[in-house]
Parts: sequence; C-alpha cells; structure tokens
Amino acid sequence: AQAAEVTLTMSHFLSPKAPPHAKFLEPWARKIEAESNGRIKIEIFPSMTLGGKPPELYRQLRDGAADIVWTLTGYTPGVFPRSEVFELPDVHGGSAKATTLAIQDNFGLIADDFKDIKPLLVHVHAGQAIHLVNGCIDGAQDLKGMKLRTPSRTGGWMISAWGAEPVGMPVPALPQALSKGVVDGALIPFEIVPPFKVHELTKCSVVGANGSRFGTSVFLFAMNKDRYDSLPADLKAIIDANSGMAIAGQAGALWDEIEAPGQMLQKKTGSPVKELDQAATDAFAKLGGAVTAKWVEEAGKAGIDADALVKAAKASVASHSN
Amino acid sequence: MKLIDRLASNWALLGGVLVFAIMIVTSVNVGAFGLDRIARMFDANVSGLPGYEDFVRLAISCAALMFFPYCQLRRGHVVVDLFASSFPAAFVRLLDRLWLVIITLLALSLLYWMILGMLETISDNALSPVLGWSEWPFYVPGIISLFLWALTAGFQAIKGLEDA
Amino acid sequence: MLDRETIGLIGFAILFVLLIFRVPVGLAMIMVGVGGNFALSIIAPYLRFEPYLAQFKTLLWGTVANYSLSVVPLFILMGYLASHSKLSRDLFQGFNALVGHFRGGVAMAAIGACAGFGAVCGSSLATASTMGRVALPELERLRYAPKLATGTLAAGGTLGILIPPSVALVIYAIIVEASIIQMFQAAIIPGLLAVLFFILVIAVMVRLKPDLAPQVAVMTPTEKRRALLRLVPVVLIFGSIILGLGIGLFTPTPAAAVGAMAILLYGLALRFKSKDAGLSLTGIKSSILDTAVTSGMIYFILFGAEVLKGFFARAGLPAAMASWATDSGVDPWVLMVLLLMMLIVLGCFMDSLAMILVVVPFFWPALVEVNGGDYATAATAAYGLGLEDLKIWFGIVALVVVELGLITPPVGLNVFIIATMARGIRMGEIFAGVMPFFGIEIVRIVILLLLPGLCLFLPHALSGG
Ligand code: NA
Ligand code: NA
Repeated sequence: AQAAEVTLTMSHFLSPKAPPHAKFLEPWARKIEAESNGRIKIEIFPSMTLGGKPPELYRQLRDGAADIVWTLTGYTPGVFPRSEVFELPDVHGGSAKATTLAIQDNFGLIADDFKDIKPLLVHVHAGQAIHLVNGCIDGAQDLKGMKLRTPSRTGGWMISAWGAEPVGMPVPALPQALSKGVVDGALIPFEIVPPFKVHELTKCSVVGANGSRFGTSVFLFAMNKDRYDSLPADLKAIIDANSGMAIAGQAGALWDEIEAPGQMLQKKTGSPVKELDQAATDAFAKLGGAVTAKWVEEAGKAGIDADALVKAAKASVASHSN
Repeated sequence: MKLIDRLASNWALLGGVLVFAIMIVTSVNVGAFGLDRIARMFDANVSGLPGYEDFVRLAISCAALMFFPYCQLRRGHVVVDLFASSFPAAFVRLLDRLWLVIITLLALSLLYWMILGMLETISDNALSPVLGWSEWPFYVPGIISLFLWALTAGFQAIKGLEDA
Repeated sequence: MLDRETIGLIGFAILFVLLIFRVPVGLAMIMVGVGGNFALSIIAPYLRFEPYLAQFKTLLWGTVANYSLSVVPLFILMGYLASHSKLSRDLFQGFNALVGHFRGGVAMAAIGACAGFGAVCGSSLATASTMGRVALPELERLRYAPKLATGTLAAGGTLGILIPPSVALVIYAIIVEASIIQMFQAAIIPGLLAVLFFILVIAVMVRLKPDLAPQVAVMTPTEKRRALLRLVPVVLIFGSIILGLGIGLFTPTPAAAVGAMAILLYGLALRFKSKDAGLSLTGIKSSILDTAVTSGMIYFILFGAEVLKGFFARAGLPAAMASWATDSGVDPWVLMVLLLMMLIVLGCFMDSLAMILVVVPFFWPALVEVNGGDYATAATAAYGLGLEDLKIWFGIVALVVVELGLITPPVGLNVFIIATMARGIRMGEIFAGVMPFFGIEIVRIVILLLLPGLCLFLPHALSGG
C-alpha cells in the first residue's frame, strides 16, 4: 500500500468492541481515509493504551500526544465551564439528537471552552435514567435519603436537590457497589447497562414522561489544533466536511439508538423501564430548576453570561424536539 | 546525609498520617453506612460523607508520592539480583552509582514536568468531580516529594553503595 | 528499515538486559518506555516525541490519584500493623497450642499461621519475613531439620499472596478490569487447597523420615490456655476481615481501611493492658515507614508500567499479539501452557508484581482472542469460559505460577529472606527443603487448570443480584 501523507493517532477510553468505537469512531476514521484517497491514515488506540487515565485525554490532545481524542468533558470538571450547560436536567430533554443539534446551533456561545483545540463534534448521550436496586419509584419524594451514583458535578447537585445523597465512583466500581448496597441506584444512560450488567443488579429503571431524562453528559471529539492547522487546505476541507453540524444529526441519532439493547436487557430480567407520569416529571423538573439556578450563579462568577446561555440552549433544544 | 535522612523519614511519616486519615474517614463512612441500614428500619436516614471517594483519591495521590523519598533512602526499589553475584564487586558498585545518577535525573525531570502540570491545572481551573475542590494544591506535596527524592538519590549517588 | 513491532520487541529485550544489570525495575520500565518512544518517533515521525514527553506533566499524578489503588497502601499498612502488634506471634503460638504436640505439628502450625497472617497481609515477602522471624526460632529450638524448617516457611510465605487480600490480585484486577472482590473470592478455595497440601506434605515427610522433626512442642496447661486465649481475638479480627471481603460485605477500600483500623485498635488495647505487648508508638512509626517503603516501591513500578504500556501500544505489540493469536490457529491449551511456562521462567528472576504488570497486558489480548473474543460465551469459548470467568480463572492460575518463582532456584526471593534469618544453612539446602512443596504446587496448578470450578465456585455463589 502507498504510504499515507498524514498519519493521525486517535485515542479514547473504551474497548474496541464498545458501540461508540465500532459504530462512530472507527467508521468516521475509515470515511476520512476513503474520502482523502488514502492520503490521511488514522490509527486508533482504544482503551487508553497510549497511557494515562481518561481524565488526561484532554491534555494529551492539547499537547499533541494524541492527534484526535474522544472523551467526556465531565472527566475534567471546571475545564469546560460553558458546555456544561447542556448537561443540565432542564436543558436536555430526552433526545441525544435534539441536544447535539442544539449544541451546534449555539456553538459560538461555548466556543471559548475549546479554544486550545480543534473541536470536531461536541455531543451528548440520550440522557441519564435512574436505575434502582430495590424497585420503582413514583416520584422524587421516594428518592429521599437514597445513595445514588452521580455521573458528574451537576449530576451530584441534582441528586442533592432530590434529597438523595450523591456518591462518586468510576463506572467499573458500580456493579460491586450496586450488588452490595453501597449505593441504592445509579444515574447512567442505558448504553452502559449491558457491559456492566446493571440490569442484573437493578429492579427498575426510571425515565420521565415521554422518555425524558435527568440530564446528560457532554462528549468532546476533537483534534489537536497545530496538527489540524498543519494540514493542506484540501485535507482540512475533508475533516471539516465530517465535523460539526455536518455529522451532528447522524451522531445524535446514533446515541439515541445505542440505548436499545440496554433497555431490552432490563425488560428481559422482568424489570420495568418505568416512565413517570407528567405530574411527577414536572416535579423533577422543578427540582432541576434549582440546579440550573446554582449553575447560573457559579458560571456567572466565572464571568460567563450564564443566563443567556441557558435560555439559548433551552430554546434551541425545544426547536429540535418535536 | 543525616539531614536528608530526617527529612525523608518525617515526610514519609506525614504521608502515613494521610493514610491514617483515609483509614479514619473510611471507617466513619462505613459506620454511617451501617447506622443507615439500621435507621432505615425506622424510616430514618444517616448520611455518609459525600464526596468520600474524591477525598480518598486526592489524599492518596499525596501520600503515595510522599513515600518515594523514604523508599529511596531505604533502597526499597526492587532490583533483580540474579546475575549480580557473578559480577565483580567493583562493577556492581559502579552500576549502582550509575543508576542512582539516572534516578536523580529522572526525579528532577519529573519535578520539572509536575510543576508545569500544576501550573496548567491552575490555569485550567480543574476541579475534583464531586467535592468541587481545586485539584492543583494536591500537586504540591508531590512536587516536594520529587525534590526530596532527587536529593536523596543524588546523595546516595555521591556516597556510593557502602554507605547505604 | 525496522518496523514498529520489531522496535517493540527490541525494547522488550532491552528491558531484560537492563534488569540483569541491576537497574531498579520501575526505572528500567521508564528507560525502555521513553527510549522506545524516541526510537519510534524516528521511524514513524507522526508519533512525535515532544508531545509524548508532555504527557509527563500529569502522568505521575494521574497514576497515583486513583481511588481503586488506594487499597494497596491500606492493605500493606494493615499487614505491618498486625506484624508490629505481634499478632503474628499470637497466631503461631495459638496454632502451636492446637497441633504442636503432633509429630511435625510445629511446622504445620507455621503453615497455619502463614495462612492466617496472609488474611491481613497482601504480600508474600512480608508474610515470609514476619512468620520466619516468629516461627524459625521455635523450629530451631525443637531441633527440626533446618531443611524442613526453612522449606516450610519459604513455601508458607507464598500463602501471603494467595490468601486474600493480595496486592498482586488488586493490580491484576485493575489491568484486566475484573472485580477485585471477585478475584479475592476466587482465591479462597485455591488458597485453602494450598494450606491443605502443604500440611499433607509435612505429614508425609515426617512419617517417612521421623528425624526431620525429632521433638514436639510441650506446653503446660497454663501456657496452652494463654496461647489459645490470645488466638481467639486474632482469629476473630482476621476472620471478619476475610469474611467481610469474601462475602463482599465491604468493597475493597473500606475493607482494607476498617481492617487496618480494627488491628490498630486491638494493638493499642493490648498495649494498654500490658507494656510489653501490642502496638507501641515506635511500632506505629515503624508500620508507617515499612508501608512507605513497600508502597513507594509498588507505585514506582506501577508508574513504570504505565510508561511502558504507552510504548508497547505505539509499537503495536498488543494488537500484533492478538492478531497473531487468531491467525496462527495456535491450540488454546498449547498457548496456555506456553504462557504459564514462560511465567515460571520469568518468575525465577523477576519480581512478581513487575511480571504481572509486564506480561499480563502483553498476553491478555491474545488470550482473549484465542478464547473467542470479548463476547465469547461458555458454550463457544476455547477454554469453555466466558470473558469474565476467563479473567478470574487465568488470574488465579497465573498468580499461583508467578508465586512459584518465589521458591524456585536460582532466585527464590522467599528463600533468600528465610536464608537471611536462618544462620548456618546453605541456600542449596533450603531449596532442597522447598522441593517437596514445589512438587505439590505443580499438582495444584494442574488441578486448578483442569478444574476451573475451584476458582469460579465462590465468585459465582456469592455474586449479588
Ligand atoms: Na433487572
Ligand atoms: Na494475603
């Protein structure tokens, strides 16, 4: 084979068998290679094999130890203060696609978070559901005093707002914690139910009315800035044609789809995936409002026009939800 | 060497105090968990320590590095001795000094990088996930540890094996 | 021009050369990792060296700032607190009161005490040295053949790492992403099997050659009662730790912390009752400093392994191993036996932790592929085990094999440790004393290979949900 003109390394924290690798990152890389007629080659290093822990991915990208990374902004709280808005429970509805499109609409407002790198796609997953060890709940009041695994900083605020207690732990520690009652439940999306056998350890998964969720997590798929700048214009154009708005709809839909196996497995164990009624959902949303208020206050202190950001984000998500 | 000896061992003892702190905080947390189990029978709740994992992670990051200089002082790093018995003693001493010099250089480079890492952590405003504590202060004990490590290994390199 | 895999293999070879020339293991890994990445950046310029070096800004802190790893210093501290509280002595004398009056009974008591101490100590070397200090004088006093006495203690020391908690299993579990608790559960039956086999070996040996153990321990009823009274609390504390871990009452870090706390309080209580028992302030200080040495060593090797891992991945070695495993059509059992034999050979001169850190990430992908990939089920897999079960079973077998290296010539670290304590005995004689134990270990490995259920029964029976 003819040697490629540019070889790019791509690093992420999941196994090569995980859907985000198999269905998004790998196809993306092969597409770029094909569209560049082999002038670009992308070598993927999954499972943190380049060294370091997932929170270091962003710095590895910025320094160029990896040319492309896919990571969670929540791994480094405080580093992406603006894009955190899309995690908030009353900003994200229940659709990865709607929120991912909304992020692209408002990219100008959060672009400062990413000024040191070249973002390819900032997106979210379909959203957190509450997975409970001891069975279903009818509303937020039933969560009082429970210990719940939090996915993020704002997730922790949300859990506190429900009167429950947030517990932080890496996902691999979750099965043990669920089975030994260290936590009474966890806020995670359905896509990580199968690999960690959460369906075998929980008796109920709870989502809001119409499948709405309790916040989400923001993912960053990005390229090293110098590396991008050093590409010839025609190769840059190929990368551009495969980033941002151009792929947001498709990627968002993909993250909505990859939840299906997790939901199915939970149902297979005879455990319901319970959709709350509208009144209970509204009660959750009201509590979620307190989280947003806290976020606005904190972000405001950091000199961000947080209020405007929340309003724009909400309007945009609404416009993409039908 | 006496001074370095004292510095390294007191620094390690301070690291040990952190491990004891983890031990105590964890025991309290486990106790709260147990009480909570009992309280639930009476429809009450006992709260654990929120952000406990954050605390353990940050505390252990300091303690682990604080052990490095003392570990060096006591020559605690594993070496493979299989073939050394067939080497002349003078050669073994020479090798030993050479590796000590390299460890000193390694500790100094890591010191340099870790300072850069800390400055970057400050400018990134990186926070711990649940407690929301700034992460950069937890680099400081590590930086001091690397300095002491370089100092210890450096002196061992000058003094050579017989004094170890 | 060299290709990347070749550079990776050369790096692997250089690592061993450095080790032969007495480079500390962690340092050797870092030298090969950094040097190797430099070499790669020359033949494959897109693997740029300067950005690679920038990783070191956070790599060290990122390695130590790890919640899962916090169990390591805690388990180590727990062992040293138990040792400095002289609980190891109570353990040995208690067992001695129970079985010391049988022929060879004192050696059996030493095995029992090693196993008991193993329940609070995560390392073989610490177990060998602690129990050696306690039991060797008694064995010498009763004129046990030095061969039997030292062989027993060197072999008994390996129980320190087989009986949970075990630092090596923690590290293994983190590498292959297995549950630490399940690994501990899996180790219990094989560990008890080892105790049983070791005691059997002693019984048979003293039956065949009675002059190996010419005297039995004679205790007055008062001495006996006191020894047994001291044994009870130790058994209770150690037992609840292993039980709490075993049935998964605790997750690892809380188990380690509460265990260390319990021993600390018991040691202080003993001290409060009598000035020359239990844990003194000096004892606490020594426990911390010993913990500092052992944990410092382990964290340095872990950091080295992280650096080395980045080099092997950039060199494409794990991927090459995995595709070799699928393409070559190697027989799964041949691969397994080869792998275990390599571990035995490496174990002769490498630290067990370093071995797990170098060898497991290297060969694990190949093993998974040969088994049938990530989604293999028991029905389709080459070893008849799904991925999770394979992790558990291979981890235990590999650990047993690795520990064998501690008692095999030319460099059995346990043997060295015992040799420093037993004066006037040649190393060769200790190795000869270890041989019967070595033989029974081989039997045990074969049994564990043929009957994975021995490892898997407890994790399956105890898994929640
Ligand atoms: Na279920
Ligand atoms: Na043990």
